[in-house]
Amino acid sequence: MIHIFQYLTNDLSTLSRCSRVSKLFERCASPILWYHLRLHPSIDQPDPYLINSTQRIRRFLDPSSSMKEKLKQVKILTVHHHSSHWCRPDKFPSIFLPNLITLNIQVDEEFYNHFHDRTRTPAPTSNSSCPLLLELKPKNLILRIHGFERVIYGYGGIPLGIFDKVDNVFLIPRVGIGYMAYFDPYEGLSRSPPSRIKSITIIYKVIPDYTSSAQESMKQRRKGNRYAKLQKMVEDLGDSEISLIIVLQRYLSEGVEEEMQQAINIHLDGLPEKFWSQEKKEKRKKMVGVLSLQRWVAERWRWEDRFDEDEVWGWEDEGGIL
Amino acid sequence: MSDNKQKVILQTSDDEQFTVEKIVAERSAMIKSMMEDLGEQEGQAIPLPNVSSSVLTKILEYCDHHKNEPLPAADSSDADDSRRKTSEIGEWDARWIQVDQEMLFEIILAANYLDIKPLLDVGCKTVANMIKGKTPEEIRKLFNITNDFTPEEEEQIRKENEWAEE
Repeated sequence: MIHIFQYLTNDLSTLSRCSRVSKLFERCASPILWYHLRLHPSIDQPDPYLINSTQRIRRFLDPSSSMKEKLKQVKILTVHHHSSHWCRPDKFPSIFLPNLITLNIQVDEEFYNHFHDRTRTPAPTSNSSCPLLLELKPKNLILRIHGFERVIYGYGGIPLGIFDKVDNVFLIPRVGIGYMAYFDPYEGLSRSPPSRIKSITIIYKVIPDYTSSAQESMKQRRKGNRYAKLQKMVEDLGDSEISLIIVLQRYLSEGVEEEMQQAINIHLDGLPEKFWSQEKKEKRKKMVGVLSLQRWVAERWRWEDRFDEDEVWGWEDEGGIL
Repeated sequence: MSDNKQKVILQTSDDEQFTVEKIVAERSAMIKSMMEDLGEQEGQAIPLPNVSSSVLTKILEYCDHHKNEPLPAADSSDADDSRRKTSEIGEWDARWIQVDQEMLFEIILAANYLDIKPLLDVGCKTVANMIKGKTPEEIRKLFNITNDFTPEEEEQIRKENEWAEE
């Protein structure tokens, strides 16, 4: 019966109705229904795939509620728009998702409000940080980063150190081509890298924006110490596996591909020898455009435990992998 | 040995014997590994105590139609998961699976026992499509299921899962 219900993973309303048929149906349908929970705090229209509105989410994640058994079944939590308005600790007493494997958060500039007290004072108190970040202990952390330049340069990066149980980190910044060429991917992570991370995968979703003057100012800015942070990161992380993936969006015009290739070359050439040998760099340069992200992920890990399935399928054939 | 027309004898639960091409029987990973284990023992029937002759007749139809397709790799279950989302069924398969409910479930059970993954998929997709969009009461009626919830329990579950039923 579980086999049958697996064909209904995208049909939550049917799964929900199945769980009311009988006790046996409930036992089989419920783990599939609750496997991947999607929260969307900023949308107030009903949507079958999303749990929205602040009030409902609060009621939902409250461990004192009768939901406890259900919340134990949640393995993936996706927060489509993380906002400091709804997750303030005074609104969320606690979050109970004890078996969570993957936390997938879309990060915007506001996200960093949650980090301030955690990272700048030596003994952080829990009453200022987002309970999502403080209490959940995922094995995989996916951060989709919008408002990228402010996140990385404005606030000094992502303090991954607070996720002390994380094995695999995926960063998915949406980034302009100009930034891509002159950006040290690890600067954003450098504040407090966790010590036991097994792998960091950075997936750039490259968009054709940013004027040439923006690129120029980036060049100026990145002069000199372009890869110093990366080097530090590699030293700090020791045995962690680090991967870079570049996903070109389909709507990129002709000629952009060439520009992209150049950006990738600059990026690769800048990596310290210690991290990637010249030989490896040349090989990677040639590989760009060969693999799709979907294939890469499918070959390496069971991607459905980490990404939102539909999204990964959407990325198929969108571009090259570095 | 390389003769594709090699035959295998299968014996059903109601003691009927079926002589089929090896290539057809090998659609079943269970029969395939059994044949490998037994080696070449001419004329010896492979017993299938969980499959009746009417179900086997139906399943052999399916196996015969698909006999020239590549067999799914033994360890492909992970990759299959990713394709599980689509509930579409091939045209021939859809026509073939138009059977009464009892037969449908017998086919699923037999596909599971005989380890014929694509057939199990077709069967389960068909049932999933039958369930889609139905109310709990309609589902109970469809499969003749007794509701063993108290009204309170059912209401509780309705509340907990409310978010999924907008």
